[in-house]
Amino acid sequence: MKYTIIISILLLLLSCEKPFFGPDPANTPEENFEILWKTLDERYSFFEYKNVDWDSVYQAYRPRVRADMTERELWGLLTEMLDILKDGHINLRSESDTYFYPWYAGAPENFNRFFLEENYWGDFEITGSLFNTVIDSVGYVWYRSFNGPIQDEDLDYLADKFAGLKGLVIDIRNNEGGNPENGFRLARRFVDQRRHIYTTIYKNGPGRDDFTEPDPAFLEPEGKRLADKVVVLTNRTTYSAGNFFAAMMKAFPNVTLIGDRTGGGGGAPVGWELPNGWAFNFSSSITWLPDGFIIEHGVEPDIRVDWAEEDRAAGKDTILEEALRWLQ
Amino acid sequence: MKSPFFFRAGNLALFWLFWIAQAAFGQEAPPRFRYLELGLGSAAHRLQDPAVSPMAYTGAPLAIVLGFEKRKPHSISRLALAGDLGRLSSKNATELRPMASSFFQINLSYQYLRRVPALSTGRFTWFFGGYYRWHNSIRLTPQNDTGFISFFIANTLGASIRGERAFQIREKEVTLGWTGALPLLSHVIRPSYLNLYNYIDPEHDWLKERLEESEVLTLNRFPGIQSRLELAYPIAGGNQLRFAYDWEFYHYDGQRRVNAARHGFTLGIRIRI
Repeated sequence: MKYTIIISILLLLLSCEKPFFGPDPANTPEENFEILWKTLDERYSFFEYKNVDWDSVYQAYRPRVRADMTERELWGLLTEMLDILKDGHINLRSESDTYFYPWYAGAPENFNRFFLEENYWGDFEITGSLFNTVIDSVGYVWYRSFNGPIQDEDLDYLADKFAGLKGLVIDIRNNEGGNPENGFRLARRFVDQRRHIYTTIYKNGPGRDDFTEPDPAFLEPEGKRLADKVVVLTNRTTYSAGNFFAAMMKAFPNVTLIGDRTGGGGGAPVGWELPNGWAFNFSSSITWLPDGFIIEHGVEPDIRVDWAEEDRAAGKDTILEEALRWLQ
Repeated sequence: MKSPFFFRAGNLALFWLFWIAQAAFGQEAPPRFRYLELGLGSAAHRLQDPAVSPMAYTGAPLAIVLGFEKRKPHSISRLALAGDLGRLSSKNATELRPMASSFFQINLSYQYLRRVPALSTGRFTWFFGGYYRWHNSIRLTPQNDTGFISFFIANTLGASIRGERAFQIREKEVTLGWTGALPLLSHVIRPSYLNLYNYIDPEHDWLKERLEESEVLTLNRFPGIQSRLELAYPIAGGNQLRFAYDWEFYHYDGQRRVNAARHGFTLGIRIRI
């Protein structure tokens, strides 16, 4: 009897974890749809800014989900729904496909790396992740991805190389983003004093208005200064960390942005997964410039320039030419 | 990428065998009631963490325990460092859809128990006391991109109880003990609502952000239980072989609820020092 009681108590203890563990969500088209829709409903940051009625989206798409639909059909339906948000930071990933919204669609290309290499770069160097050269007594750096690490030593080398020149062109055209920390490291070499670069709020609850308090971000100078007068070249493919870099550089009085509006990507992406194993990302924050301009749809250049066909035919990059003229 | 030297399984096994040999064939130690312990085994985990996945993740990571125990006629104190490391995954995981986390758990705990004479009149000797535990559970989930790190860190003060009795097996005095513990007051650190740190602010302070969102919780919002059933079998030199079954569960009733259960089996060697 005594041992029965002891064993019963032990079994009771062992089973008392079970009520807390709810069942896993079912791996069905309905449940995968519900979790994706609800996750965005509670955590996506731009419904109001983009004037999207997400409940109406549910009403339109939920009836189209069938228990017997194939994975490909479900993929098609979900990506069609996600397209409504027009957000390059929203993606859906399976082992055989990745969906993302083509934020650059319809914009002029405005960049060709091989054209630049052939017509401008001459005897260029690649210092760390930074392609660099001197064109008409102006320093030039092409940074193709913010995933490429930038070391302080690289920047010190470039500061020495570009010392005494008329200015510096930072070309981030076609830079689709990466790690913003690399942008901070680069931008610290241009800022003249501690400056307010932008302000951000993050979702912090499931309600539409559940956001953190505004967080004003500041940047301070650090290390050898790269140049006094700077031009940043942008196009519509410049995205995400590239967009944030353009935003912070726009806050500096010695910097001019030339080219096209950046592609945007002003919400910090965060990821999760569905019961069927598809992973997805979505924007979770809102960032605005010191003047209140929200950067989700891009940062406007100070001088809007597109690549003219006649310049291309003449072996010239209109946007780079404008930058060189600006810095003379 | 290779694992760090200390955690490579082969080296661990050699180290453990060396430890057993030392214990079994070493010289007789003076009769003091202090033990150093090394245990190895495996722990079955079940984890529901919405910062990781809507699905529960399960797995059986490697379990390692290092301990120091001091026994006096009326008290027991135990300092332990326990770690689990391995992989947890969803039941829906496939080779192409991993749905998995690398899992690391480290617990540093100190327990102090006093004998309760009034309850220790029968075959069982009972102890009662308290414990402090620093619990760190970290899961790295690459498919979650910027939200790939989730964690549960708890500093806990709690109450403990232990009952033990000795009996004979093959003319050796074997001790069977059960220890139970309840968290009474805990300081819990979890990721933000989004499981995202403020990486777009160049001056962000990760630790400050986490501490600002941390909570102090009592048992009602952080119910849990730890149970340890152990059998200590004497071997040469006053040392012991120790088999332990640990069962642990907690439910964190915060902004991102967590349910975690662990069933661990370890075989250890206790060196009397």
